[in-house]
Amino acid sequence: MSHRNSGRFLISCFPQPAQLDPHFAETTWQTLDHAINEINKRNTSNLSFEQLYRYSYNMVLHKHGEFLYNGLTRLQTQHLDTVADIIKRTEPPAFLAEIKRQWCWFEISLAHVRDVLMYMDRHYVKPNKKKTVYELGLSLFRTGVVGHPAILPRLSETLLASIDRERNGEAIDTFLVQNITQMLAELGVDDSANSVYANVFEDGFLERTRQFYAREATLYLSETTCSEYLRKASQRINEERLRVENYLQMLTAPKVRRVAETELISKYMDKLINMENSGLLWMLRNDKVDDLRLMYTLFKDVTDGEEIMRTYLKKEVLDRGTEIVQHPENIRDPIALINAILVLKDKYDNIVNSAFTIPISQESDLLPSLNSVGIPGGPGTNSITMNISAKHMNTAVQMGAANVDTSNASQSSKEAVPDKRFVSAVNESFERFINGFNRAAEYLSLYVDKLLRKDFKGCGDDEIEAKLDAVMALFRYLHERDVFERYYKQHLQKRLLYSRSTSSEAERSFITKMKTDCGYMYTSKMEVMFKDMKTSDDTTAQFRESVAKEGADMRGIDLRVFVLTTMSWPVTQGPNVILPEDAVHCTSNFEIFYYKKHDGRRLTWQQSLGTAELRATFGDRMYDLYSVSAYSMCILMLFNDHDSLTYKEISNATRIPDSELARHLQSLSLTKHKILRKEPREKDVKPDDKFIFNSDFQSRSRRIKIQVVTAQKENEAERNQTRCRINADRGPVIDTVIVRIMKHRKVLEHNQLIAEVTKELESKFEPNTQDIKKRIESLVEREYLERQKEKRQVYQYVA
Amino acid sequence: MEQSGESIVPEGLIRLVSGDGFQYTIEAQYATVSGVIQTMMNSSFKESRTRIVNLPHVKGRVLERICQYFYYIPRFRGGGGMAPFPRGSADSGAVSSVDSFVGVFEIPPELSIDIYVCARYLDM
Repeated sequence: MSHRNSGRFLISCFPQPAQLDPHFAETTWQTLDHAINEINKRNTSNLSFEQLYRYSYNMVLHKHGEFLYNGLTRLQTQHLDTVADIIKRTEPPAFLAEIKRQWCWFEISLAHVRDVLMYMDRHYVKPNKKKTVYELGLSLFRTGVVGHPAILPRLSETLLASIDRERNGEAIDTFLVQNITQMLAELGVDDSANSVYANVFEDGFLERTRQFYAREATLYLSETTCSEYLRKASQRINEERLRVENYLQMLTAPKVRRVAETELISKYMDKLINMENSGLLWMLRNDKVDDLRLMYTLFKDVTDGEEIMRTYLKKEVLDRGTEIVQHPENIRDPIALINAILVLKDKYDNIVNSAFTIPISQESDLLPSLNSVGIPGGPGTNSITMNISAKHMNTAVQMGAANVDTSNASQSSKEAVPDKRFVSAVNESFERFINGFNRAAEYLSLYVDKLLRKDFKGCGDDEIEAKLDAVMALFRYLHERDVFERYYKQHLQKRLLYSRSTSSEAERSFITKMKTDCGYMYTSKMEVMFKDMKTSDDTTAQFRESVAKEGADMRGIDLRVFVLTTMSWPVTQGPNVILPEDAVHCTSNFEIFYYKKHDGRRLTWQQSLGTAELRATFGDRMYDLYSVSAYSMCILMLFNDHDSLTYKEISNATRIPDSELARHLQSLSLTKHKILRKEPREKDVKPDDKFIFNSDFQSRSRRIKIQVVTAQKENEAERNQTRCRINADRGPVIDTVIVRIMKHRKVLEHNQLIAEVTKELESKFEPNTQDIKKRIESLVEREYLERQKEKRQVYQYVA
Repeated sequence: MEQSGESIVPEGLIRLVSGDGFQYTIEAQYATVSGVIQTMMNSSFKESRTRIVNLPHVKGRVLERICQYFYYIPRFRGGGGMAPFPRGSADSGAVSSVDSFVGVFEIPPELSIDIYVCARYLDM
C-alpha cells in the first residue's frame, strides 16, 4: 500500500494497559465484579456503560474470556443464593409477591449485565458454545431460586392452592399468579429439556384439574338432568378457558381443555346420551334444539364424541322411520304414510339445520385444500411450459378461492352451515328405512298424485314448489327409481286422460325436478305423454273441423280422441268389448280421417281408458252423467232398448270381462247414484242377478258424476304383476349396460364387469348380482360375448 | 469537557468524545447505527442521562469518519438500495456503475485498520 495522504500510516491497537500490567485480568475483573454487584443492587445510574463495556472488551480481546465468564458465573450464583435466602424467609401471604419482586429485579439487572458484557456474548460465548449471559442467568435462577428444595414445593403448592380457591369461588390476586406463571414460562427449559412451567406448575395443575372435575362430574351426574349437566360442563370448560386467558400461559389452554373435556364429557358420553328422560334420544324426540346444539358443541371437540352422537342419531331416525313404514294403519293409507315420513324429515332437517351447525369460518377449514391440485406437465417438460402451467394453476386456485368466497357470502346471513356429517347421517337412515319398505315407490307416487289432483287446488306457487321439493327429497332416497317411474307414469296417465290435474305447471315443475336429478332419459317418456296430450287436442280440433266441412254423420256424438304413442304410455291392451253401434261409427270416422293424414300408422283403441258423457232421461227428468267409463257406457246404452237385463245378458251383449263387469255394475247399482236397480239387493253379483233401469232416479244436481276413476294403491295381485313387469323391463336395461361396457372395454374379468354394471345401474335401481349373472349368460348364449378359452372368468366382446 | 453533573447536551443529540479530546455532537437517531451506542442510550447507565459518550481509546480522526459513516449509511438501509462496502480510495479505479450512482464512502488507507477496530468495538 502506498501513502496517498500526507498523514503517517500507522497501525496500532487501542491503548493496551494489559501488556504493561501483569495483573491486568485481576484488576479489571475487580472493577467489573464491583460494578455487576452494583447492577444487581439496582444502582446503575452512576456507572459508565462505556467503561464497563470497554473493560469486558479488553478482557475478551486479551484472551481472558474464560476468566471473565467464570467470574460472572460465580458472582451470579452468589447473588442468587442471597435472593433464595430472602425468599425462603418470607412468610406465606407475601411469598409469591416476594418471588415476583425478586424476579422482576433480577430480570432487569440481568438485562443490564448482558448489555455490558455484549462483547463477551459475541466473541467469547458463541465460539465456545457456552450459554449466553442471559441464558446463564436464567439457568442459575432456575436451579438456585425456583429449583431450590426449600422453594420449589412451596411455590407449586401456593399456586395450585390459589387456583383451587378460585375454582371454589374465592377471589384471588390473578395478576400476581399471572406474573409468576409468566416468570416460569420465561425461565424456559432446564438442562434436561424439561419445561420449568410444566414442572413447577402445569403438570400439577392439570392433575388437580382432573381430580376436581372427576369429583364434580360424579356429583352432577347423580343429581341433574342431561341438559343441566351439559350446561354446567360447558360453563366449567369456558371458565377454564377464561382462567388460562386471564392469568395462565396460553400453551396450557388446549391441555386443560382436554383434561376438562375428558373428565366431564368423554368419560360419560354413553351415559349422557342414554339418560332417561333427558338424554340425546329424549332431546331428539322433543325437539330440544338448544340442548342438542349444546351437546353437539361439547361432543364435537372430544375424540369420537361427534361420531357417537351420529351413531345414536342414525339409529333414532331409523327406528322412528321403520316405525312409520311398519305401522299397519299407515300401510293401509299411503298418503298418511308419506305424510308421516315428510313430518319426520322436516323435524330432522330442522334439528340438523339449527342444532348441528358449524360457523362459516370453521367450515372453510373443512373444505379440501386447494393446494392439492397437481401441477399438469411432468418433470420432463421444459421450463417455459412449466411456467405456463404454473400460471394456469394459480388462476385456477384463485377462481376456486373466489367461488368459496361467494358461497360463503351467500350463506353469511345464517353465519353457520349444518355439519355435513350429520346431514349425511340423517340421509343415510332415511335411505335405509325408505328402501327397507318395499312399496315406498308406489306410495310416494300416490302421494304426488294426490298433491297434483287435490291438494294444489288454490295453492300459491311457492307453496306448491315447497311441497314438491319435500317430495323430491324423499325421491332422492329411493333406490328403485324405475319402479317409481312405472307407478308415476300410471298415475300420470290417469291424471292426463281424465283431466284430473289441477295445475299443469306443477306437473311440469315436478318432471323438471326429476329430470335434474336423474337425467333426461328418466323423464323422456313422461314428456312424450305431455306432448301427446297437446297433439291430441290439435288432432281433435282438426277432426271436428273436417267433420263440419265434409258433413260426416257423427250421430250427435262429440268425439274427443287421445292419440297416445305406444311405448311411452303404460297402457296394456285390454280385451275388446262390443261398443254401441253409434260409437263404433264415430271411431271409424276418425280412423278414416287419421289414416288419411298419417300414412302407415296404426290406431288401436284402448277402450278401458275411455270416458263418456251421457244424457239420460228418467221419466220427465233429464240428467247429464259425466265421467262415465267406456264400460259403464256400454252397459247403460243397452238400457235404451231394455228395461231389465240379467248379468248374463249384459255380459253376452258387451263382452266385458267378468271382473270389470261386476265392478261397473256395482258402481251403477249400489253406490250413491243408483241408476240401475239390482235384484236381489246384495253386494255380490251373480250370473242370474237382474238389473232394472231405475226410472224413479232423482238427484238434486243436474250433473252427476258416475264413477271416479282415481289412482288407488294396488292390491297384492296387481302389485306382483307390476313387480313382474318391472323385472322383465330390467332385463333389457341390464343387457344394454353390459353390452355398452363390453363394447368399450373389449375384454373384462367377471367381477370387474359385475362391479361396473352395478355402478352404472345404481342411479336407476338396485340390481342384484344374480340377475346380472343371468343376463351375462344369456348374452353369451346369444353370442354377444364369449368366454376366453384359457381364462373362463374373462369375457370378450364379440363384434 | 463535561465531566460530571447534568447533561448540557440537548435532547435528541448525543456527544461523542474522542481520546484526544475532539467532540462530535450528532443526532441520536444516527448514532444507533452502532449497536453498542444504541444499547447504551436505552439502558439506565450514566450515559443515557448525560448523553455524553467517552471513547478514550478512539482517536479524533477515526471518530470523525465514523460519525460521517453514521450519516452516510442509513440512506442505503431498508430502502432497497445497495449498501456499498466502505472501501479504500486506492480501489476507486475500478468504480462500477452502481458505486458511482450511490456514491462511495471513502476511507483513508492509513486509518483503515483503526476504523475497522473501532467499528468492531461499536458493533456496527
